[in-house]
Amino acid sequence: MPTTAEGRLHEQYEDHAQQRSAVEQGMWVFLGSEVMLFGAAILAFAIYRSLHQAAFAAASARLHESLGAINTALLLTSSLTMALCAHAARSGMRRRALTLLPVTAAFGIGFLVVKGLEYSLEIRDDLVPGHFPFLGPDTPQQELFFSFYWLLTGLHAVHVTIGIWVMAGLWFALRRRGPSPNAVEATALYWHLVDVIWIFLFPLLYLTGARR
Amino acid sequence: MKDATITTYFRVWLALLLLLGATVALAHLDLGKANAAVALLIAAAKAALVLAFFMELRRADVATRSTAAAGFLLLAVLVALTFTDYGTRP
Repeated sequence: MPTTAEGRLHEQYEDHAQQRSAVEQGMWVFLGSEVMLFGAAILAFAIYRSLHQAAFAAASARLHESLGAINTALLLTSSLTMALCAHAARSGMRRRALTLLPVTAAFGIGFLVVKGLEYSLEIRDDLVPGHFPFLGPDTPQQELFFSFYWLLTGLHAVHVTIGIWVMAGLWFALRRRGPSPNAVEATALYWHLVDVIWIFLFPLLYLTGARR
Repeated sequence: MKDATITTYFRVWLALLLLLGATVALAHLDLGKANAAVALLIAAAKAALVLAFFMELRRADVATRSTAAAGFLLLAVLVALTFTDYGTRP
């Protein structure tokens, strides 16, 4: 079997383009389910935000906007290195792909570290649904905001963690010259979607605050 | 269509960071009701850049593009119908 940049062509495919397209379509079916999962939760958040605008704005202002912005920059940059990694794998530059994959994972870990720091600050400040000590006319609604905040960011952090694990597995497989560039491509698609979800979570959760 | 070049990826990344800066800066200006709309529009622009360039939909074939569009289309239906309900309640 000749090893080409495009990897092994499985017998059910006419050519490499068709094989790559099948991988991308399969990934997008899965990503569609992810879009609906996060989409439904974000929609519920948007409905409650439209019903309790002042309370949600006041609650949002309690978040650390700068840490959220730093995390957005980290994820956007990780998407760049992931795209470069997939490009390198497609172009047969295996060594470069092997370097860029841990770089991407490192940005992902950086995201989780900042997120963890943020969570610890929020726990310290009692911004946790269940024992929300602030008294005021809109306390229950503010608490609802934090229920959504923990649900959405927590679910997203789980996805980032899974992405890092997949990258680790992919790195070892790549080192053994195992997978085709399509495996890198599929991982990249997943990682980019996790980035896209954060692109929406950041303004919705952090920038609706009454800072003006 | 050919894959994007490395320069393109860096340009897209730069655009994404500029849009991030813009959305944070605009959130601190009082635009009234437009604040939320501006934030969502910028988010949509960033998502479009990631989808088109990083996720290679710009050069993907029709079948892949349709599959990718299906999830977002269904979400759009869900959002439209839900807001039709809540927006028209007395």
